[in-house]
Amino acid sequence: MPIDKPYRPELPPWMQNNNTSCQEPSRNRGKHSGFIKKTINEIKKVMVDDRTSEYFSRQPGLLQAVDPRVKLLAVLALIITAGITRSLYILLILELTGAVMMMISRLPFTKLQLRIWGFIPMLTLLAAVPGMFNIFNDGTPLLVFYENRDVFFMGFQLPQTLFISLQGFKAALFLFLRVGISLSLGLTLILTTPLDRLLKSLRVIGVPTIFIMIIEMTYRYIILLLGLSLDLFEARKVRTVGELSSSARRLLFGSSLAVLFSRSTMLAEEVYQAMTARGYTGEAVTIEEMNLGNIDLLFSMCIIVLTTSLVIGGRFIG
Amino acid sequence: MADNIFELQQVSFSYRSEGSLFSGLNLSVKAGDSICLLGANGSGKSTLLKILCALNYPENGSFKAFGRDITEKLMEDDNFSKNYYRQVGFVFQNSDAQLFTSRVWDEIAFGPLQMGLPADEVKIRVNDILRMLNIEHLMDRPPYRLSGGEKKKIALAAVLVINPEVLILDEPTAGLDPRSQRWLVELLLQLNSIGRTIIIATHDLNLAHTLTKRTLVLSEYHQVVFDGPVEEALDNKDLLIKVNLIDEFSHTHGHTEHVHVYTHG
Repeated sequence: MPIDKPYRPELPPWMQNNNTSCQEPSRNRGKHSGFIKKTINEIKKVMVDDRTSEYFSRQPGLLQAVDPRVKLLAVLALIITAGITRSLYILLILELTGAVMMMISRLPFTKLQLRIWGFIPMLTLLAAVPGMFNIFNDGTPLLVFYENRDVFFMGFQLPQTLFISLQGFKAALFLFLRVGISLSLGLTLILTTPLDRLLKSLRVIGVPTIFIMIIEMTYRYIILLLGLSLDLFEARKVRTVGELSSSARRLLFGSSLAVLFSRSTMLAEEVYQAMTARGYTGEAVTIEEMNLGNIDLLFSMCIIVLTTSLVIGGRFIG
Repeated sequence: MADNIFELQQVSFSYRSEGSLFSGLNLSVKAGDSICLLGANGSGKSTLLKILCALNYPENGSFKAFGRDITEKLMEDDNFSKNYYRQVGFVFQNSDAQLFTSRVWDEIAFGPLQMGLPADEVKIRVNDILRMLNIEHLMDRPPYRLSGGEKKKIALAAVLVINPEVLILDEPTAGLDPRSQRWLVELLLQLNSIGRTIIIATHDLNLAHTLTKRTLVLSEYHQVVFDGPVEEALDNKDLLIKVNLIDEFSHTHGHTEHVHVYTHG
């Protein structure tokens, strides 16, 4: 149907040319602004992680069936056991326990183990390396670098004998294992429990309701604002050709920050109004549900027996 | 009049950054009314709804609800405020602002719990609402991962569960597919037929015609330029053109069940 004349927009001449030809790819292809691409990929990664944890928490695994409060207390008990034990065997048993828990909860065991042990414990180990030397932890030599020599390092005189002590090595190894085991158990808990239930379970260890509510809302709006940031950066990406200069990158980053800040301020006001309109007066009321089933009792018993035996048994094994 | 549930007299309101929005605004709403605020974007529909919901307060003039003067100070009284929101439910235009918890069930239970309803009663109401709106399958999902239509349903459920006497909806059909729109219209008509007061803001003329009996038309200069039967407003082409709800090439066709206004493509 023709458009009525008074409302027909006057198209500028350049807009009247149909240019649908596809150009040959240039030699410099692949140099599309790395900054925007990286930002988009990182945002997507966080959003995928968020969805992944929801997916796993709905799998029909054993831990998914256990009450979040029981799981939280169990994981805390296991982490504390790992923290206080002085036995390498106990740590290995705890790692094995974590691995079994992961497998019976239908989590991708190998992928998660690589992710867990490949980063944070490794960083911890690196940070613990100086503590392995006899400079900080004197003891039985395990690996001797030199003996009875005067050695200077950046103007400081090192000891006449430098070695990695057995005690220092054990301390670093313990730290490495404790971090890895805690991460492994923590991740199992997070992946097998929907976020809202996990946060609510924090009440059993005395975390105030208002604090839980704030974390819950913060997480929810971070995801929302990430979606908004993704739109911002994708809209920019389709209009960006080639590499951006560092000043353009700063400008883009600054303007995105400003847009997000302004949007989040407006949103915050509306969210507060929405809460007020449903009777919120500063003190959140929630339903406390305490329905523990047989599986929860059985799981609790297993964890109590395991941790007690490990703590007591740890005194007798080295 | 005694049966007015809302009464605005000589109300003026402004946003600090944008200057005066309303001045000398008069409006009364009776129990059981179905009212539609019609107006172009930026005409002040949402602000007016928020005044009725005691989320914004008039700078001058008086705003009475259920026979009482509503002031910011009065709304600071927790008991009064809770009681007020038990009677007046507000569905926001932006569902993302309204859905702030991380589980649909908790989102719907939030209102009645804050109102002080016993936990067992809350559980019954939430489950009934989930069943009524056919959204039981969503109850464990985080609201922010739902589609626009689903979010709207949850936002509506979160208000309906309080069972308010007055239901205020800001652009209720925005972002809804045709089937969901029809479902919403049927629901609101049914609620109105059992005595609930319905107030909606929209620029959807079809919705106004189908759903409400009375309409208030706001001009782009934030003035109420019409207050009367919806058919009368929709038949007044000059008025609709003046307030930018249709353009001069719009027209109606059909005269019985199928009256609507649309623009040429």
